[in-house]
Amino acid sequence: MPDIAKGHTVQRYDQELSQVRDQVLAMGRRVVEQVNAAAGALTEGEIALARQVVDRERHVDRQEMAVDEAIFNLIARRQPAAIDLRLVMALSKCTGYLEQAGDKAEQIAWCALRIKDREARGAVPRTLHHVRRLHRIASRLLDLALMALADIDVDRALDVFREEGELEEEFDAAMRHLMTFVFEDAALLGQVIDVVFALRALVTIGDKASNMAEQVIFVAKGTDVRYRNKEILIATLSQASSSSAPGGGPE
Amino acid sequence: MNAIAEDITRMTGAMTADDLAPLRDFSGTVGDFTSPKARMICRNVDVHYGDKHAIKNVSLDIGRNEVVAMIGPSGCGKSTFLRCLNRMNDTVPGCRVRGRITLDGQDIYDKQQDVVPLRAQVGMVFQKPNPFPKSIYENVAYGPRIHGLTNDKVELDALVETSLRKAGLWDEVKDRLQQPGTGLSGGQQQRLCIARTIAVSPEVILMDEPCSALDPIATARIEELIDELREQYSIAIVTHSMQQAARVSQRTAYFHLGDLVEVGETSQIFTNPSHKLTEDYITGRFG
Repeated sequence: MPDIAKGHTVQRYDQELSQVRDQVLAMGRRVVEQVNAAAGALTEGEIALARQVVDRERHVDRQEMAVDEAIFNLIARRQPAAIDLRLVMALSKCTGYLEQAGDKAEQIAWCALRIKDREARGAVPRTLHHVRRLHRIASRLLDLALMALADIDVDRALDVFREEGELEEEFDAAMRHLMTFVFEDAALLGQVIDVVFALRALVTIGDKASNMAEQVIFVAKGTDVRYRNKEILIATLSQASSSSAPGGGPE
Repeated sequence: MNAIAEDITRMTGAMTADDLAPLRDFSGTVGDFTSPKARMICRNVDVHYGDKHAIKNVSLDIGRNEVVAMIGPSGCGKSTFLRCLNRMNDTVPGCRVRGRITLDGQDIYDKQQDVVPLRAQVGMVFQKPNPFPKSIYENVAYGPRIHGLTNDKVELDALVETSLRKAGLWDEVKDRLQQPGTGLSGGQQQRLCIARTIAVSPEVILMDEPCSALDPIATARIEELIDELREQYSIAIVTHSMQQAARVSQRTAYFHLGDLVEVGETSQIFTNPSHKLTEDYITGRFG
């Protein structure tokens, strides 16, 4: 996969584009850490870890502001065009998505804190099974989206679309099970509500990964695929990549 | 596709053929070189300077009320092509132009075509402002006078005023019309040259890097003027400033080594060009 942030006649421009992308990817790695820590804090009942997530959310916010400033300066100084413009736009949007995913990690941490506050033993283990499963899916989607963004890799972006359906399926299954627990033991209601909040937050994190994958397609193909049917998109792009050689044109 | 999938497709919007086209990697096609409002139609134009093949089989329309920007690296042929449009290349020794170029259906390379009225119909503004060493008034009045466009002094005065107004210069020079045109600032001189071009009632205005010798404020005034002139004229502009092409034109044509590589809506060319060479050039990866 060619590095699109390289090859300008003005090499300083390459560096500036690469720096912005590295900043966004670094922010992405921190968000992944936050999501993993928040989910771990909830499933393992680790108060200290949950507090750490809440505390570190400020760092994610600061990274967002730093990326915004870098993009603001880059647009003012370089007036990017074509694929550079699409990349800068996409990085700006991805920064927003990552910040929102970071907020959701903080929400999960607060759920862990509330549950522990309400019940010293922490959550009842059987309510947490789905948190682990949804966390695994959301975390993988986020990883895939970041890898896709790092290399502007359309195939990886399509993998995000292929796998995101599991989120809603898992969430629906979780809701059915959790309702059963509440019917069996009404005392679990408060805890279940917090777990549902956490599950919903994990679904949203997966959605943000999907949003980022859309931006990768936008950079690579120049077409805005938001709000498009993903099945058709996967079929179209898979077909396109298998039937045509990339790049080129008459020499 | 099952019923639910069909519903989702309806709700979320199926990809149409138009949507699918850009999803392919660089199509490498020139794009639509025609204009629905074509005033000048150029087909299969080749230009040779001696042995040098400067323009290779270029087809491009210049439409009514539109600005077509021609961009490309030095030596790509954009200025050569522009000069074909009013036969300025006729004056270059060893230059041969083949193909067909028409203005409102009339072949401008027809043997019967007199180049003097042609160059009034297809006026040209050059890179460096080149007012005559005469008064501001005479610079504008000269063309209409030799073409016999006015009957008396009153009509000529009115035409000079109208032309200077259209060029956005009247308010700055109305009290010193008899002073030399060469005494004006660079930006004013360029607008004087535009007024001179307008005065002979052209249909098409060609501009060859009209702002390259001007400061940003004078450039902005010319660009504003180009946008106003578009309401009445067809304009083709050669520029090295891609930002200028993006600002002033409705369509952009990218030339490379004498080939017209790509032409399209300016917004498309600058956000999602369909040719790798175009993208490399406008993103600064060229060379």
